[in-house]
Amino acid sequence: MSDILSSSSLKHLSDHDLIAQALLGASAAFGELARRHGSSLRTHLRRMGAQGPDADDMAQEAFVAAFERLSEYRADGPFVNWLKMIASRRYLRKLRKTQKYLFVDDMQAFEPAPDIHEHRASEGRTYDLDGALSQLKPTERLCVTLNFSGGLSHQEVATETGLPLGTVKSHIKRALASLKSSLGAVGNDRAAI
Amino acid sequence: MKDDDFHALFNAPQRFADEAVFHDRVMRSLNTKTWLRQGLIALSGIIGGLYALMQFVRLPGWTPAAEAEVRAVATRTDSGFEAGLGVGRDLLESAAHSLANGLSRSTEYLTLMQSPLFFWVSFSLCMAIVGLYLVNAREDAL
Repeated sequence: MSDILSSSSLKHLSDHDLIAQALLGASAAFGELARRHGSSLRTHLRRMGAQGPDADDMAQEAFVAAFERLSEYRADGPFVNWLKMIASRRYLRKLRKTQKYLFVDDMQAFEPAPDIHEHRASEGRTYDLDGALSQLKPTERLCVTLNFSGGLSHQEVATETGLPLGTVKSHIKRALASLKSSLGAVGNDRAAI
Repeated sequence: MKDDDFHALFNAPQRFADEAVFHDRVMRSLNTKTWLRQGLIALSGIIGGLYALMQFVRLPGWTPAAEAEVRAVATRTDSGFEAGLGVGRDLLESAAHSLANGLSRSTEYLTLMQSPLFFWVSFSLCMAIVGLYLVNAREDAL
């Protein structure tokens, strides 16, 4: 099967077609899915708060788990969201094992706040979302990323994290206000320039 | 900024310099895991199959006393053979001894494989493999 499907022909197939091919035993089709969504998954885990090598390990594990359970994918949403869900659960499981106090409100941000303006200038981006996220508290960052990047509803975020729904809502609200403030400042600077 | 802008920002992935390396890592990991699983299944199949096969093989009336009888008969036959022919007898004698020893050893293995000890060792190995498989499946829960 994998001999028949060349890598150039795989690039033109949709995710659902690739999944169908992978279910028939073409591992090259799943390889194309991994190539297509690898960066999204690694970015998602980093935005949740995972550190670089950990994020890559978990992304790799998520791909392997997805390949083994591919028949369980119900196509009720984008494939990348399913991958993100698998990776998120693994990350949350690891957090629960290793960082018992993560979900406490007075935790400060994991990383020192970078200079958003300098970061933006060096990378040539309009908005530095990653820099702005690093200024949030870990739980706020987690909730807002699961909501916006993972495509989960507030209720689903509450279920996955084990936090009360009201707490999740207020975390997301505060995170958005903070992000708007950080990113809005960049936008205003651009307008002033 | 509106919610749609945030969705767009969150859905824009970072660019990584090592995308190809990561892709290779994922594919290598997939292949390794597939081979490992197939290897475990083959190993448990071999152990189970060997055990089942050994339970079917029976030597009628074979006991250590019967084995001694067989050896004595083989020796008498060798003596007759030696007296009658005399040519190449060393070679034939050596071959006959090897054959007799080989048969004797194989029956010892067979006895071992039909012993309760072998049953429990092979049963434990198979259970250990099934246990490993279940633990692995649980770790991989979505």
